[in-house]
Amino acid sequence: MEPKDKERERLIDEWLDGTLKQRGAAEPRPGLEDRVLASLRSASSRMPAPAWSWRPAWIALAATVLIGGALFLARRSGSSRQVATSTGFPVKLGTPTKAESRGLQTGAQAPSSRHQRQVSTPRHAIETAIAAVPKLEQFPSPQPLSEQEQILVRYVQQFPREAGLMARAQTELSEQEEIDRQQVGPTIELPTSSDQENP
Amino acid sequence: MVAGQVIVNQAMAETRAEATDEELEFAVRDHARLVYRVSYSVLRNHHDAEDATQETFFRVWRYRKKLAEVRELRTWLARIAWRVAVERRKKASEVPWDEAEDAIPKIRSSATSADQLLLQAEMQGVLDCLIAALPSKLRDPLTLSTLEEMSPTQIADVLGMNEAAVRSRLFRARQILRNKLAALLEGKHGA
Repeated sequence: MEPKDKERERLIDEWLDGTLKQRGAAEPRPGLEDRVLASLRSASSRMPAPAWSWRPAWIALAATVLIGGALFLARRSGSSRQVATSTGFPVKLGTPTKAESRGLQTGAQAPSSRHQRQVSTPRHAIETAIAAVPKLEQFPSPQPLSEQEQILVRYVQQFPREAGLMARAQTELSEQEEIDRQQVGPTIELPTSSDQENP
Repeated sequence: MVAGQVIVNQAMAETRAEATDEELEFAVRDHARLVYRVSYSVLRNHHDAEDATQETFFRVWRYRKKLAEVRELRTWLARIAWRVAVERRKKASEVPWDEAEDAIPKIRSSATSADQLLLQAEMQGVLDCLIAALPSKLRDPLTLSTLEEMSPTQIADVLGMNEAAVRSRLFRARQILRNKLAALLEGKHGA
């Protein structure tokens, strides 16, 4: 490399350093910081309120919903209790009827799981309703006599002897009918015409 | 109890907001010039650079909760300013070499030697064209290196690369510029 070329390279390097330094030495107009801060302040005043300022409103809303829900549930349970006490129909728990026990013994009608579900759900509801009602001394609760019963009572009071005779005769008659029924035995069901047509 | 907690939380949030506002004001006072220079080095226009500076600090204000977690505030601000400026920069970055070569004959006519040619004010424009024509992976480190506040380590942080890569790219960029300038000056001598 010639000294002339070396000199030119040195010159170019120096010029490049100086020019690049100048390039990066740009100065802003005076008051840049104030202008930036002013624009930030105006931007912050335009922004909506922060999220935490809504917190009391949310708490109040949640409390209102909770209290309303609690009142609704309390009122609903109170009304169901009133229904249970007002109807007062006799309910048997745990002891199946004759028909039910017969069905279970023979297995003719095995209860399906669906049937069990249908039975179990109202029983649970009934138990809940009964638990809410105070226990009575006499079950079922005494009902006033009907008109026919009142006539019968008056008749017995007026004619006790005749009434006793009639009662005894009625009892004997019903016993005799029961004996006759047992002697005849079960009736044989003949096939109907519709059965014959549709085998 | 709940209302009390809300009031305490509000007071704490207000205190924190005041603290971050103070920090932000200090950041503006201390580093607005650096942010401006980073923006100007990319955009090469005072008006655009000031707009980019405003936008940079607006972004900082939006994420002011992170200010307490920032370790190197200068580098963090420079990185944001760099991104804002690059987003604002338009297609002007892609300048062909021919533009720089076309500018030279006008300067040549008034200069008699290479020394005189380098002294011409128009040569600044030629250098701008040469830098703009560099590939971006060389141009970006060179652009940031012109800022006296930025060390190669900080340039590496801003550009998300390691320091060795920054140094190597700076060397290559300067070499390309030197060769191009030498070629242009030789052309002058040859004329």
